[in-house]
Amino acid sequence: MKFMLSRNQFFLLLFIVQTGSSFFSFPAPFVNAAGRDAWLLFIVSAIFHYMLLLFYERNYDYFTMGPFVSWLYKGYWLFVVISYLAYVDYTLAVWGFPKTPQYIVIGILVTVSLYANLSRAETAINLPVLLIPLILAFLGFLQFAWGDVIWTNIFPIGQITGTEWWKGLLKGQTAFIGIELYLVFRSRVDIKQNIKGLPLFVYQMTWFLFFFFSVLLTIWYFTPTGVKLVPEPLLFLLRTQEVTFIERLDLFFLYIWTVWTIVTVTLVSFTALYVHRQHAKEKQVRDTIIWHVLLVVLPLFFLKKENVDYLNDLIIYVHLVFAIIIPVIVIFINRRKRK
Amino acid sequence: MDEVQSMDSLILSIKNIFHNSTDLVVREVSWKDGSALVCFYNTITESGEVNRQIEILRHRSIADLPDWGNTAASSVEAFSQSKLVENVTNGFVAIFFPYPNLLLTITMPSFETRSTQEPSNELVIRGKHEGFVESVDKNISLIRKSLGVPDLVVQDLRLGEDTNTKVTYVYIESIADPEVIKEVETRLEHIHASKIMGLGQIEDYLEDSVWTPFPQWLTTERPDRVVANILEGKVAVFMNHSPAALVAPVTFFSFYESPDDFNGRVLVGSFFRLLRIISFFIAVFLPAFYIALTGFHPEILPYELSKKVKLAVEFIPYRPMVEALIVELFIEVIREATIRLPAPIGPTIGIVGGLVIGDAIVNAGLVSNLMVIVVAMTAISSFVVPNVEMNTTVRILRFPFMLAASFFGFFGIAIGTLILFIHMMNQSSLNQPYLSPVIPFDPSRFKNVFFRLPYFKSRKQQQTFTHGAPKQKGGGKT
Repeated sequence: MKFMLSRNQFFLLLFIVQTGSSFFSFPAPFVNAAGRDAWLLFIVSAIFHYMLLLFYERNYDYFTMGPFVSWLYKGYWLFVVISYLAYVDYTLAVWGFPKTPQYIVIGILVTVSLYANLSRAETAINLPVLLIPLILAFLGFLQFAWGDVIWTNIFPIGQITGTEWWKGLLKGQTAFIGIELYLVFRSRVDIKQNIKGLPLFVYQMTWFLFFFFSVLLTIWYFTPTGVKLVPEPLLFLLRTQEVTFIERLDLFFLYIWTVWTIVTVTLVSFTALYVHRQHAKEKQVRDTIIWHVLLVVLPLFFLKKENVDYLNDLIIYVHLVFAIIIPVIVIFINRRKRK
Repeated sequence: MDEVQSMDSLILSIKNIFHNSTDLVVREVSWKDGSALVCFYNTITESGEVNRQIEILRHRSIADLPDWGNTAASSVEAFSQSKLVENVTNGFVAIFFPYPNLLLTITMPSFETRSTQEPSNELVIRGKHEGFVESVDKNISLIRKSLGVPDLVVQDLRLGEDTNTKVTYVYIESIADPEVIKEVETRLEHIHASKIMGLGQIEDYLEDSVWTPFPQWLTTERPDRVVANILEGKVAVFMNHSPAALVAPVTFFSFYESPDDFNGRVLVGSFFRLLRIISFFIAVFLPAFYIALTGFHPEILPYELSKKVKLAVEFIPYRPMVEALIVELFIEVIREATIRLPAPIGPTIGIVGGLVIGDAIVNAGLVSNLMVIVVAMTAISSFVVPNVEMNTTVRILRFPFMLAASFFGFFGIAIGTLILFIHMMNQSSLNQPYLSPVIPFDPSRFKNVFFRLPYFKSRKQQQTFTHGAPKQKGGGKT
């Protein structure tokens, strides 16, 4: 599979995967864990995120996957995609299709990814472009909430306890999921285009402001007790907005979020299949189909609320292994080997 | 005919080659060193002019001019039966000299063609009001009239063993991408068909993918449109006896450009181009949106509007999908009938079908008046596209979306949209990405898609596909 990424394509792909499914589900657990000072905690998380990116940028050349590590990552991405699909299917079942068999909804979601992954590489890579106007519309409609926010909700500052720090930092990792794709695709970026320095900082700030805005808006709009009762605060916030031409903004954005998640699933699947093809060059169509059959079958075992919550909790710890521990080990070993 | 034969038997055998057609003229004429045979079809050659040309050549021969047979209108070559057949069927006059075994050809075909008129399916308000006709030579002359440049290259080839159809492709050497030209040549040379009946058939062979509803060659009958496109480095393909040209490589957005954009004011041109692109979304999504709204998500509308929608559909016996299908199919039938009927009756059918039956169908309670509004708006939006091919594509596309909306509401539309965009991203025109310059993103050309920029701002030659620039096949880079 031969392709080259431009800097814009690379950062857009990374941004969509990182925001993908977690954007709606991120603020509530994070604010619940960290309390009123969640916004402060997110700044600390963002610094850690930037340091991780700098570490990746410095060492991506050393991150080469052998067959064993490659299988570990494929398993991890399968797990990530399953948790995303289970979550979106559960949400759709609650909001839109209570009577439709869930395997049909998952089947339809996965069909899109299958189609994109059976197409040429450029199709999957360019797919995030479709989301740009939708994201802008989403951010635009969130501005309607400014009139309802209570700015003083962030006070008093500095009440966060040690346990909340710890829990909050862990929950904050949800916004990091997908960061390991940096290591996978960095070497594919056009060497004539600079990543280090300002471009990387601009990406970091875009990612930071996007999540920071959602955290601040949640704190400003909801009381600490209220946010515990609302699993998707941003959707609820859209639900309460009154615009003259539309009554239920939330329904629109539920489907926009669905599209966002499908694109994320497609990109993560593309990454897994790309890594797989580094070691298994034959029967690519068969492997792509098998991967997508797994994507239809496996989420069916996790469609209950408690299962979805369990996956959302577990994914943080698994992510830490694959975004930090394994990359550090692989980079360390390869650095030593090359010396 | 290598053997020495009498003139009478030669005349007979030539007539046999052409199966004794009554419009074939084979006559013996006397020449300086003996006799020759003149052969032509009198239906596609001017007989009076034939005598004049023969007289000129005869005098040149008697005067013993060197190379007497080669003039501006004639040429001499070794005789072969295939050459004789090719020349005569193309409307040339062939003079066969049996003893030196030479064939003299006089180029003077006289095919009937209509005069140029403005194409009825590509009307403009300002700008040229001339269109192509069914003669490739006349069409090339219309191009040359607008482009007085020496590097405008015109190349011919003959396709179809039975039809021997002349196909011509045109490009500007200094602007066109050599790889694109090579690709066109290769694809044309690989057409092995016994019959070439129309430009649509050639389009099938030239397209990157025939199984997509999206056209990958722009069909136009306007010389100004072809000129503007070949000035952007594209190639135009003409076929004899067809009043249209095929232009490629094109993008999806090329179909939404009209010569009027560039003839009008900057702001007005930009506004209408944007309006046309928006009309694509209305034409494809509006009926599906209505079906999803009435069938799945009535709560999305404000209460007052929602009440009106409910009242409108309350006593309709069919589901919104069936209701939409009835009206959509009815509109398509009216459109088809209006095209096929003689011009004086067509508008009457439009009025009877659109107004009388439309009104009656609502009064009978078969469909709601809201549905008629939606379908009428959709139909009008689909006709905004300044290209017939894309127009038909847009009209077909709304049906799968209606189906998806009737099954899954907005979710169906969202999934359908993703599939549509993935499909569009997979398409290419002569290996150039179909959604360029949006995907892959090219900031230098992006604004040209949505806005008609002032001429004085363009400091360099507008080139859609730059000669010598790095290739971006399939959208590899943004």
